[in-house]
Amino acid sequence: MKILVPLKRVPDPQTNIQVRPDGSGIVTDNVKFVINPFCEIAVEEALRLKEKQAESEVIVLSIGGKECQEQLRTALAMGADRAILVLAEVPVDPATAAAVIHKIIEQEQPMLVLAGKQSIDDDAGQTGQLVASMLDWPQATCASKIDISADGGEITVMREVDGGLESLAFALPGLVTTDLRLNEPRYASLPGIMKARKKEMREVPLAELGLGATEKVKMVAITAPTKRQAGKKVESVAELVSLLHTEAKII
Amino acid sequence: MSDDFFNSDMRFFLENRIDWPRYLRLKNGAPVDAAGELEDWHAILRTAADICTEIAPMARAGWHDEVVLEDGVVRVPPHIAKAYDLLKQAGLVCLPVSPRWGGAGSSMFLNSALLEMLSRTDASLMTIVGLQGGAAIDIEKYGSDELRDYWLPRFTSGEVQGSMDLTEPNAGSDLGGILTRVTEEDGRFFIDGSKIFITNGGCDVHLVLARDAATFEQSKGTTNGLCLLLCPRVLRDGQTNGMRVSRVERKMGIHGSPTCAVEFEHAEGFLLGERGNGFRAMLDLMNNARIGVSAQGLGIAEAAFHQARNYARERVQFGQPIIRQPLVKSMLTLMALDIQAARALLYHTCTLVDVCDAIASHLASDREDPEFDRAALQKEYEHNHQLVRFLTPLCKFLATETASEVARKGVQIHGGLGFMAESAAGQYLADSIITTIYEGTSEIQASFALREMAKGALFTLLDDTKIQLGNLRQRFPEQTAQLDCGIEQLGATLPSLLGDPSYALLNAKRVSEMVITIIVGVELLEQATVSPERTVLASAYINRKILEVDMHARRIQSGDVTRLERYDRILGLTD
Repeated sequence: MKILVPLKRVPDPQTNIQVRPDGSGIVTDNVKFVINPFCEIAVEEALRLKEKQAESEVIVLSIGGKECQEQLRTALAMGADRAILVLAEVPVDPATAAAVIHKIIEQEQPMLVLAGKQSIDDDAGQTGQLVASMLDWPQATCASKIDISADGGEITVMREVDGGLESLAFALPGLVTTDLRLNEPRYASLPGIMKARKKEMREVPLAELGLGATEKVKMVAITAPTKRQAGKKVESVAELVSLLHTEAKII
Repeated sequence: MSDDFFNSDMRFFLENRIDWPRYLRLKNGAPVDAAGELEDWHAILRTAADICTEIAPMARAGWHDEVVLEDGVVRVPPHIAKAYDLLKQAGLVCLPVSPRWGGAGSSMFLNSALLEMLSRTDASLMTIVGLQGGAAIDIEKYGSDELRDYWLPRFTSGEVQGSMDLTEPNAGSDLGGILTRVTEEDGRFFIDGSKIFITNGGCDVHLVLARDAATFEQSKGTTNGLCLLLCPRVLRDGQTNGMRVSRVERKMGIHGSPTCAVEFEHAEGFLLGERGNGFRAMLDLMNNARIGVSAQGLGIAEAAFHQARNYARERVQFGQPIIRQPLVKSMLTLMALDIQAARALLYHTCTLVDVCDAIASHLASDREDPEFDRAALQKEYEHNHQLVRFLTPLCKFLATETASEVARKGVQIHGGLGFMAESAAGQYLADSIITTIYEGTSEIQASFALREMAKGALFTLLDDTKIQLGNLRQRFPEQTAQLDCGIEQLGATLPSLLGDPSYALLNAKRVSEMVITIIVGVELLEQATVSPERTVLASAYINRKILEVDMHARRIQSGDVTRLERYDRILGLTD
């Protein structure tokens, strides 16, 4: 089975993010970049499915500058078979990302696309669904468990929903987006790292995919959240109640 | 200094201070893909840093957990087992072993960077992991093909762990005291005796230093007649070998690392290297281990520094964070400087080891490379090798003493909180102490350095240093003049030291510190030529330390061996 995993390069969630003074974006100097954690879970799940299903192939895909090679290389070191980098000079919006993934799916004909449910940088949470709708494919979002039938024809996806678990099943090809509890991704291992360099990484300029104007969203400005105000210590419950009434005006 | 385990100094060295294309060409022959290799090493250290980040909270929470001995089985605390497992899955437990047996054939630099990171997250864990590469490399270097093919893949996969069994009740720093006996019976070797303080003594494969029974009486009290043997806990036919752990020690620090007493009763061992030449094989292991412990000290120091700096920024007293107090800021600055200095010396030494190793593999091969002249390489090898023997003890002395000094200041910055059992600051201090002791105490290191100096290594070093200073003079006139002056003062002390070996030994640490100031000063200036923002660091270091060079020089020149008699009177040892 061929599995395609699109992945995004994002700032490490542990990093202390700072906004550029002109609001045009975030400061990227000395910021560590990683595979978007939800995408990393998708890579891990693809590798686990591959370990269960003989003759599977895991292809990872990213869209962006040359620097995305680093994240693709990490996915190859984790165990993915080959990588595709669609070279784009500026960050793309979810609609463009979906159009690119759509084109690559047409070229590669995977049976399953596993994508992160959202990226932790702009949190749009749209790309996976957009791709499924473009292809008119069945989809399941926010997967917390995935099973594939022995013949590889059907997928069962567990989703954590309000008040319990929901189980969905559909025939492949299809698309699934991954949630946090699906698995715990492995580290790129030493043998994996040494093998990764010999694996294929195909670069495709965005222009070559022949996409028309797809940009639907324009980033206008980024501002940092307002700083939290310092708290106040009170001497007694009476004082607290009085302040909640007179100052905070919530009772 | 960033909070990332894969810190900026490591990146700086990796990217600027080593001629990797030449190293790779010497080590493996042309063609080389240096950029690709470098990318792999980055990826390896990145993985290691990510694992360290994951295990750091467990290491702090489990720091007090002790190793236990249950029915003869040694059990490490759960956080150590879990962390080892993560490293094992990532294939990072035995980096230096050749790829032929599943290792990375990693450079000393890469291995030290990994060990520094591990130690920063958990010094106990580093003790166990550091030992694996060292033991496996000894098997790779001295073992028969059969031993290597059987054991090395098991080491690199993490399936088995090893230990180095040297110490006995009467054989600590002086291994001539070894009484464990190895007896040949029909071409097989059997070990009888007791070892103590054995790190990771509950493991599967012990490398045991024992005295050959055939020459026992003649060789007693010397390091002749010793054999190094590989002694598995379970023999290959499944039989349990004649050895057992009789106790595990409780210690002041590194609680997660087992320290065991091991008894051997007719345990079968397999020779590593020549019979009677075990001390030689063990020295190799010791030299690697000294660099490993230096990296361990550095990792602890780095952890203690970050802990203290973060605390000083947050802790408010007298209406402001205590980092604004001049005395606190000064302590932190000194910690940072000392760490950078120790790292400069350690990584510089590692690169010398790596070049030696690469030259040796070229010379051992039949490769004809127009780039290299064999005679010149041979000379370069001898030159570097002499420096490595001199710098290795200096590294261990500096990095481990720095570790305890930095960790001590870290506790001080935390005030009363630093003295509480929960405080990480105190944990770092407790862990740091052993680094100044095992693999040869600081005093032993200083005396080794003195011995190498006496054999001519100081002049080799100063010849190199003077050339470097010549190249740096135009750019850094003030700092190079200070170092020139330091070299002069070092030279002026030599006559006082040559008179009496006891007086020289009495001053071994002072001389070591003088030499360290000069090497590190030059290395930091070299770094500043690549990265100008490092100039402030180099200047601060030289300004501060050159005063100590002056003080040491005066002290050495002002006395002679009669000082020892005065000490006797002070200590009441006159009768």
